[in-house]
Amino acid sequence: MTARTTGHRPGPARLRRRLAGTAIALVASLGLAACANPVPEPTPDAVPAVPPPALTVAQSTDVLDQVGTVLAAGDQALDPAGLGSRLLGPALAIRSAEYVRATATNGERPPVTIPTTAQTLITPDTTSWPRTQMVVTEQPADLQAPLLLVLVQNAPREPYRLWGWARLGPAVQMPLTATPEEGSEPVAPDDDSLLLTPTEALAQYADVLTNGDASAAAATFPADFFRTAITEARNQTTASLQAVATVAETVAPVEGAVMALRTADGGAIVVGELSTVTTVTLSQGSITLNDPFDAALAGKSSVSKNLVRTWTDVVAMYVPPTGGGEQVTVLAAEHARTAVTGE
Amino acid sequence: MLQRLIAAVLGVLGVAAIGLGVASATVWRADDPLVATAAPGGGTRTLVTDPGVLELAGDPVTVTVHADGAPVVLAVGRDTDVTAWVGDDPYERVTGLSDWHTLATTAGQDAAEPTASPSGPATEEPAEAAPSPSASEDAGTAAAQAADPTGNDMWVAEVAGDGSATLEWTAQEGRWSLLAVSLGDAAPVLDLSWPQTVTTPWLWPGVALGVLLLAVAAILLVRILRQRREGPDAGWTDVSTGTLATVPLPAAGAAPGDGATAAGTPTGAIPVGTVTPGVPLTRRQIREAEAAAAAARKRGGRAPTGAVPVVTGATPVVTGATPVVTGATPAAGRATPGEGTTPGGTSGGAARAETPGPTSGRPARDDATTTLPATPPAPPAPVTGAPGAPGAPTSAPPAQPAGAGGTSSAAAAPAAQGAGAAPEAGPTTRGTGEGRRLADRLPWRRGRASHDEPGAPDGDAPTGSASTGTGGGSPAPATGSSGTGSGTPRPTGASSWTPVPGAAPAARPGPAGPPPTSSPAAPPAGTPASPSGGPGTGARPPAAPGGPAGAQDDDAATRAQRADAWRRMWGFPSTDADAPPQQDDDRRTEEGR
Repeated sequence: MTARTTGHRPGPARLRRRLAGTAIALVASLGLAACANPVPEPTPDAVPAVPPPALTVAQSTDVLDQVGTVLAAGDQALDPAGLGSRLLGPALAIRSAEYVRATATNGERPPVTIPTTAQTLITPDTTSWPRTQMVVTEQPADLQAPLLLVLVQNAPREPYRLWGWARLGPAVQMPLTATPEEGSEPVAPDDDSLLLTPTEALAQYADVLTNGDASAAAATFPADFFRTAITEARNQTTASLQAVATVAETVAPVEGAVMALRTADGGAIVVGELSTVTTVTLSQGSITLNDPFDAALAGKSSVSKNLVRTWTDVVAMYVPPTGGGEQVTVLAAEHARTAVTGE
Repeated sequence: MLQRLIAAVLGVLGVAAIGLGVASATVWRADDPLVATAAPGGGTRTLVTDPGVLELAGDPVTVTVHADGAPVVLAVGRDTDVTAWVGDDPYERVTGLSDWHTLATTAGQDAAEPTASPSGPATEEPAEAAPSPSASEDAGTAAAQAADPTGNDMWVAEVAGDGSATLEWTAQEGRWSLLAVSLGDAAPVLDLSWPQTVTTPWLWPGVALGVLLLAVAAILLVRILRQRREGPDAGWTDVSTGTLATVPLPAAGAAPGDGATAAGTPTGAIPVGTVTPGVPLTRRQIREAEAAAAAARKRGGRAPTGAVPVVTGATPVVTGATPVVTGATPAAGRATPGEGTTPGGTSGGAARAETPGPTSGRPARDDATTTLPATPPAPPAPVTGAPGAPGAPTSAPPAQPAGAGGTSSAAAAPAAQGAGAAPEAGPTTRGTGEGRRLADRLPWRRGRASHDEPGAPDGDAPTGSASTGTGGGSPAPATGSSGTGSGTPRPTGASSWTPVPGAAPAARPGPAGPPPTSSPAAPPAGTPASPSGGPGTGARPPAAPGGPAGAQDDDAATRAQRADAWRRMWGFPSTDADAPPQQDDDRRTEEGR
C-alpha cells in the first residue's frame, strides 16, 4: 500500500502535466478574451477634391416642385404674399407685377407660364453659400420659349428660391455644361478666367443695351434678340411720343445681382439683373395711360409732366473663357415692367 | 487521490471549455443588430454624426431618436451641409463607438462666437434658435430651443416625429452626416442599429478542447475506478499455495524426524512418522489455511473488496495443488524403491504413473486384484477383487509380474510407500507448489499439472468418482486417459495408496459401486480391459466405457480443466467448473478421513 502511494507521488512528469493544464486554461481564457474585437472606427470617404453637387437631381426636382407649388398658389390667388417663401429678387418683383397686370387686365394678360419641369440642370458643386442653380425648363404648354430658371440658396438654413427666369432666345444654343451628377463650378463675379468677369460682362452689356452700337463694348456683344427687342420698343415709344415728349432710356446692372456657373469649355453662364429705366419727359399737354397695367402701377390714369417706367431685366449670357471666343452670347432674357411712376 | 484530483480538474476544465465555447456563441454572441446609443443629456438639443459613423458597422443603419415628449427631427445630408446648417449652434458630435454599445460624443463646437444667426436676414424657420440673443448663450436657455431643420432642401433623408423618430439609411457614396434635433426641452437620445453578420469562431475550438479534456478525465476516472474495484494488483493472480504449505510443514517435518527409520533417504524416512492417518493435510485444511492466510493478508491492509474475488480464484488453485502432492508422492515412491532395491521399484514406478492412472475404476480394479493379496489391510481389495475378478483373469498375465513384485514389495512397501507418499506430500508440496506456480504461467505445463491433479484425488477417491459416475466421472476419466499407460502396473501403488488414507472402505464402495450403479459402463470396461490386459490396453477400457456416456464427459472435463487452467493463467475468476471438483474434493477428504 505504501509502496503504491509512493509510486504515485507527484513526480516531475506530473508537475509538468499540471503546468500544462494550467497553461491550457490560461490560453483558453486569453483566447476567449481576445475574441472581444476592437470596436470599428468610422471610415468615411475621403473629402473629395472637388465638392459634390449641392443638390442631387432628386433634390433639384423636389425644389422645382416646391417652387411650382408656391407659384401655382400665387397664380391662383394672384397674390404675391405667399411667393416670398420660394421667390426672391427679380423673380418676386416680376411675378408680383404680373399679378398686378393680370388683375388690372382682368386676366387678359395672365402671368408668364413658368414650367417647373427641368430639361437641363446646371447644379453647382460647392460647399459655400450662396448657391445658384440654373434650370432649363421644358417648353411650356403655350409654346412659349423654354425658360432658364435661376434658383438661389443664400444660406444653409434657407430654401432654394426662384431668383429669376429668362426666356431663351430664338435659335439659341445652350453651351455644354456638366451633368448635375458632376456639378458645375460656381464662378465668382470677379473671376478673371473669362473673356470678361461676370460683373464686367453684365455692365458692358448694359452699356451696349443703352448705347447700342455706339457702346465701346459693342464689338464684344453682337446684336442679339434682346438688344433688338429693347431697341425696337424704345424706338416705338420714342416715335409715338415724339410730339409731346422726349424719351430717354438707360439700362444699368443691379449691384451684386450677378451669378455665374462654369460651362464645359471653361466659359461661364452669367446671369444678372438689369434695371431698365425709361423716362418720358413731357414738353406739352399730357399723356393718358392707356395701358391698365401702367395705370395700375402708377396709380393714376394720366401724367402731365413725366412718366418713368422701370423694367426689371434678367439676362443670361455665355461668356467664353479667356483665349476662347471673342464675343459674348446672350442666351436668355426677361424684360418686365415692374414699376411706373409719373406726374 | 492525486489522480482523482487531476481527473476532476481536467473534467472541470473540459466542461468550462465547452461552456465558454458555447457561451461565446450564445450568451456572449454579438447582437445580431449592433445597437449603439448616444445620450448626451444636459442642454444638448442637436446631435450630429461625423461622416462614416452611419456606415460604421453595417449597411442599412436604422437610426432612432427619442426625446421625452419633444418633437424630434432626423435628417441626413452631406457633412458640410449639416455642419453648415448647424452653424454656430451648440451641438454634440458623434464621433464613433466608444464601446460596442455606446457612441462617443464630443462637444461639436465651442459656442465661443455668438455670431450665431447663420442665415442672416431671412430665416423662415419657426424655431429661430440662435438669433441675436445668442450672446447670452446658456445651454439651459438658448439651447433649449433648437432650429428646426425640417424641410431643408439639402437633406437627402428626413424624418420628423413627436417623441421619437426612426430613419433607415442605406450607405451611399459620399460623406453623409446625420442630424438629430430635439425641438423640445428634452435632450435627444440617439440609437444607431446596424445589422451584423455574427461569427462564432470560438464555438467549435472550445467544444473540441472541452471534449478532449473530458475524454482524458474520463479515461483517468475509469482507470481509477477499475483500480479501486480490482485492487492495486489487479493484474496479478495470487498464488499463495507456498505459504499455505509451510503451515503443515513443521508437523510433517517433525513426523519424518521421528520415524526416520527407513533408509538414508530423508524422504523415505518421513513416511513412517507421518503415516498416522489424518496427519496429512486434508484439502479442506489446506483451503482453510489458505483462506485464513488470505484473510490475514487482506486484513493486512489490502483493499477488502478487491481481495475477495482473488481468494476464491485462488482456492481452486489450491485444490489443484493438493493433487499434485499425490502426484509427487509417486515420485517419492519411486525414489524409495530405488533405494530400497525392492522389486517394488517397478511397482513404485508404476505407482508414480499410477497417480494419474488410478482414477479409472478398471486399473484400480486390476490393481486391486493384483494387490489384494499383498495388501492385507485392504478389506476392500477383496471386495474389489470380486468385481475386478472378471477382468483380472485376463489381465492377470500382465499384472502378475507386477503383482509378484507388487506383492513382495507391496507387503512391505504398501505401508512404507503409502507412508512415504503421504509424508512426502508435505515436502513435495512445496516443490510442486512452486512448480505449480510456474506451471500456472505456462499453459502446457499447467495442462500437465491439471492432468495430474485429478489423478491424485482419484488415488483415494476412485470410488467416489467411479461410483458416482455422474459428477465424479469427469475427473476420473481424465486421469484415466493420462494414467492408462501405466495404469496396470500401478496396482501396488494403488494398493499402497488406498490403505494410507484409509480409503479402503471408501474404495470398496467404489469398486462395488461400478458394478451396480454404473454397471453398464463398468462391465463393458472390464471386458475390453481384460482382453487387452496390457497397461496400454488397460487404458483403453476406460475410454471405451466412457464412450457412451463417459467419453464425452471426459472430453468435456478435460476441456473444462483446460479452460480452468487457462482462466487461472490469465487471472480470471474460475467459473462453476471449479465447484464440482471442490465438492468432490470435499467428499473425498471426508472419505479420506
